[in-house]
Amino acid sequence: MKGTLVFLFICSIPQSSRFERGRNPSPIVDSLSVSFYGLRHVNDHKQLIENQVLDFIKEPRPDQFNSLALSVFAFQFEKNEAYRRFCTSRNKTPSNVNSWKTIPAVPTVAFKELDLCCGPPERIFLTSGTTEGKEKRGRHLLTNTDLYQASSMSHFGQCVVPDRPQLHFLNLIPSPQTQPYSSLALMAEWAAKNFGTTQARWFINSEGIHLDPFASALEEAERDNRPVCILGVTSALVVFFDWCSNNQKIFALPRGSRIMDTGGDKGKTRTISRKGFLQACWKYLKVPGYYCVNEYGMTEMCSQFYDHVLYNRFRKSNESRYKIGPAWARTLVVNAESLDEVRPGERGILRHVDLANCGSVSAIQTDDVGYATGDGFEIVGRSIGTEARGCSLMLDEFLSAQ
Amino acid sequence: MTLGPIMEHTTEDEVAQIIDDLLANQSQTQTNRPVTEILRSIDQTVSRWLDPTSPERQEAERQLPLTTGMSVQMLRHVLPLIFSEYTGKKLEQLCALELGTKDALDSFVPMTSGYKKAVGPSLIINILAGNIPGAGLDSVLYSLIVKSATLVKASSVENILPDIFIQSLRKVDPVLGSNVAVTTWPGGNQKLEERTFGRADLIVASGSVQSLSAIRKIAAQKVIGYGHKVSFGLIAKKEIAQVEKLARETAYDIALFDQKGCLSPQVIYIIEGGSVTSSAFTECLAERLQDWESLLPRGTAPVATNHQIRKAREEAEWKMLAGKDVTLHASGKGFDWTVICDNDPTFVPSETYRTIRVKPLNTLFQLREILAPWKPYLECVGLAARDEEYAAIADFLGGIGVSRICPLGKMQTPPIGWRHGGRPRLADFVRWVGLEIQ
Repeated sequence: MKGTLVFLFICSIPQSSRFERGRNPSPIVDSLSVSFYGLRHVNDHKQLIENQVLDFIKEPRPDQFNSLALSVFAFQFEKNEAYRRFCTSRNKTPSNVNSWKTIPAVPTVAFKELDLCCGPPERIFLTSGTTEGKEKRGRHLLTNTDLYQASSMSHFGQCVVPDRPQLHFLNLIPSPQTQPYSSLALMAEWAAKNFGTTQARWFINSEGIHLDPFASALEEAERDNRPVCILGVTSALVVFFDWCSNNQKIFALPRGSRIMDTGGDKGKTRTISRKGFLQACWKYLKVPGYYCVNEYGMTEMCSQFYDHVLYNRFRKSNESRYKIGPAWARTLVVNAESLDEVRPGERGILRHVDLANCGSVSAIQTDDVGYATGDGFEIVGRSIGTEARGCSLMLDEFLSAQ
Repeated sequence: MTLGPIMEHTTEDEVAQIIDDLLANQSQTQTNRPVTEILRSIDQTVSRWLDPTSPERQEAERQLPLTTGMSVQMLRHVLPLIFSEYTGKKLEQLCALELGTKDALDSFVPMTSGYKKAVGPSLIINILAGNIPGAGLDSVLYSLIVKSATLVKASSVENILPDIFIQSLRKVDPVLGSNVAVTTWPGGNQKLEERTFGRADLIVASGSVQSLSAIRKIAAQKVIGYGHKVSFGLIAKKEIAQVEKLARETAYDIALFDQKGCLSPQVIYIIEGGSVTSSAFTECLAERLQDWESLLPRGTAPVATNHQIRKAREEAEWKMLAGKDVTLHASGKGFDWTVICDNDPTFVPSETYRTIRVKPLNTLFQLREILAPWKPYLECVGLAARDEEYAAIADFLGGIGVSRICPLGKMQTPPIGWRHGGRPRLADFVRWVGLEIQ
């Protein structure tokens, strides 16, 4: 059986792959070592799965999603002991799970308790986790940074820069130098490198948000008629809009300029409705709503979900705004109590199955409330806790007193 | 099931009219009413509530499960517990305890250098909490005993019990009943509250820090506020002769009122090194909670609460998968009960609805640091300790902010004299008039 397997796998591995990870077999025993190398290469289940997902990212085939999801599940079940025990305690194993919808989903809290990793990590991301007080930070260990880059850049390209314009990136986000464990910072750096014309400029560091240089950069862009892409944490943009209001500043960014905001309000600044935010983007920057794309993502997941307004605009579609994910990530809306799938369009909490997460856990259960719509979903809130009495009220009151 | 207000919201003008009537009735009928008559009427009303066959009990048992979500078995069990403390005899004992004698409400009574008389305000507004049925009813009765009229603002979450109770009081004594009115309006109706609160001499309110400070902003000097409180269990006994009995009593305190009261234990601390380990006690507690589930079934919890409970279970589960010293026992059916044994001694309020954390301690004195940030919120400790050590441990607990210590199993049934928040109840409503005769 093993021999047969080896034979089949050798046939399917592209020739160049043995050089991709910087391995250079000694030329002296080149011909002999190929077969040994091939064997070691072939038995590297991780590499196989990652390549399959990378191929899917390059050329998505939606009808293959389910079988690939189940392969990823089988891989994670085998490699991740804690996940395996979690699955078996629920009587869910690769032998009886047939649909991506029933792959056991890990709650985000799991990332705070242990490292869910299917191989040696290349990189570690930490969650920010400050809204709930002294909570531990979640850790997401990546076994393959290339996979994160491929997945994030592909979907970013489709949703934020589908027209592939010449843009300068102005990032109202802390840089990777300021926050080396931030997945958002790294993604923003890649976005600027892949889709920007010059070096990205960063306007948040450990000292805070630097609004004057940001405003100068906007003025420059106006003067030189250079459209910009602003990647910003939503709360930082709200601070900027308030600054504009207080200083009576208004900018008119050149046509094609766009804004990608993310991170919600995290309770640090005053809350702003989505409508209020879009109105402010138009009022203070002259960026129309269809060039304002909100990103929904999390440290625990390699893929992101975006408002599809810009994507739709270039496809000449008039659908109302909602979130879409890439072909390799699907979202299920489940009942907050039973975790069973809700009826179509009904509200529930979101569960994501992200194949780009093949190095950790692909099925993640969040507390984010939303409903399915169109080809994607809309988010209503980041937590279902608003109705809860007792503990959460008590804890909120206690924490705000600290 | 949607739980919501049964009573219609009272409008601003209606409230103003009600207050006019209350003030008129109070001056005509309350100020000179003998306190024994008031106590007798309350006693007669309460007797009807202690009779399971009375129409008022029947109506409460029919309606309250729908409005509170509590199981009918639980309601049948707690209604007598609530009302047995409000008999005429017990209320008279309270008057004696807090005022010296109930006669001080009727006339000048002798004191060391003359005479004194206790005078209640004209109008007291009682703002009730909705966390458990019967919450705040005692303040309403005390208001009547000190010969005030009272406007009761029932919670929008639970307003049926105050309403039915006052109706039954009116049947027994229409004159006394004309000095109390039960209303409700959505919280934060600033205009109504500004117009209303100013007319009261005293406001007794239950609520969060925010709602109490909002009331204080309008009514400044005259607010007695009862904020959120937390209670916990403490097992400080090295040799536990009857573990099952102790576990059963602890489970009872957790199950009662579905753990939503300020006297419900949020955490059980157990001092290690005794005959029973924390994990053994945890297992026993889980079994006893399962027993109580059959006798006093858990009520219907909001979806958000069950979600929080599931998250608590998930966190415990993943701590276990991570090899941490945590054990989880969860009811097989739904979210009926959850026990988590956790080595981290940090105090964490419970998700309620029978979700309890058992935390081992090395020594009692760790609680000083652990509970320091919670000092303003501490209420009651259910204590299991050797007789010889009981008073000393109670002394320590009192010193760190606890205002009531009692045996486990008795946390939810405080006697009439207990000082909610550490202060006198009825005595805080009156002012004293001193008299020296020439």
